[in-house]
Amino acid sequence: MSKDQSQSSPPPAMDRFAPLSDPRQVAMLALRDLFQVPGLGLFFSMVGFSAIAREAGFGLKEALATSALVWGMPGQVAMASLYLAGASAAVIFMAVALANMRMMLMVVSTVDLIGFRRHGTALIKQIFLMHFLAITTWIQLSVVRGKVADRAMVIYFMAFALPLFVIGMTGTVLGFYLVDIVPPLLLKSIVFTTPLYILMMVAKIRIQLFRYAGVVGGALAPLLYPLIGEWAILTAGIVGGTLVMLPRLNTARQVRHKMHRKKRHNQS
Amino acid sequence: MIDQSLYLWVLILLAFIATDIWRVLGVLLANRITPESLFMKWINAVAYAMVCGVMMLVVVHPAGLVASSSMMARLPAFAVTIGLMLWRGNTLLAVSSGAITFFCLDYFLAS
Repeated sequence: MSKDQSQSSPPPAMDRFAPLSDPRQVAMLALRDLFQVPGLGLFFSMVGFSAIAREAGFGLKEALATSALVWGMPGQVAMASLYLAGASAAVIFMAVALANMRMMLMVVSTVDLIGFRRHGTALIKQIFLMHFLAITTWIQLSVVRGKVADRAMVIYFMAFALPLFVIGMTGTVLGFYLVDIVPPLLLKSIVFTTPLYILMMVAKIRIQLFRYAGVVGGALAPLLYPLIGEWAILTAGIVGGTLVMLPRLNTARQVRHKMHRKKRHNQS
Repeated sequence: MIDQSLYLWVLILLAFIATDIWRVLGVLLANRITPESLFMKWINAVAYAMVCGVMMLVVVHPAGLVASSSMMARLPAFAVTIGLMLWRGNTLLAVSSGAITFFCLDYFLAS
């Protein structure tokens, strides 16, 4: 976070409460946060995935393996629906890679948020833990930043992301059978809450810059999709992210310029 | 039939590689970027823009289960959610009202 931002608008949570650092308290907070909309939303997303996977001809084992190994909804849905459509392996690989590319950026952001580098966490451990990263977890980490002490963020991550993974696997298994019992309309409505929830979480992010990036990206992707298909996500992301950064770059240049002038002034 | 199931397992493995390659690259990249730098901020901004892009695609051009619903159910549900969020600032209220709107509209539009 930039210094100017934290000075102009101090996060209210930081003023009133000291950040939590006791491991048990942090883990309890993570579990409390998990067993609300985030856990429920992800559970039903996986139920929804299982329903499509079964329709596409997956067995329970295959559906479960996909959820566990891919652990990224858009890629999972792309895979199951392309398999149903009889697409080639190369097309499926590309589509999944494209749909889940945002993982890279989310991982960079999360590694920074958790502070793996500051704590000297081994690379292999970072890679292992990041397999369990999902959009839901990433958004949650941005929400609790400031409420949880920096060094306890990894505990929060583990206490949130790992049980969430178990919830996801449970959803996949139950979804395989639940489709027979739950009316499709109800299932659809519950699945639809996840995008609404994630979008509202971004709307609540304290950093204005990221909110704006979300608005631009969210507006662009549906407009571009009819033209360039899955590439719309990547394009909307880069355009949205860059557009909101432009004023920042300008400020940075001005600051650098001013510092440079000052230096020259001092020298003379 | 055995061939078909083996093929599916190969696809699952490919999907795993196609996703986790990004995760690994993300970890490697994160350990090279200076925290608090403008580049790190840009990466975050792009991540937020991409995630919102993915989620808005579910609202406007959905795949999977939601694909069988009408745009006339999805867009008003989204509008209700945004409206309540701006008005009340309560996530749970906004999201559940949006979902109920979706349910009702989809029900009436389908029948």
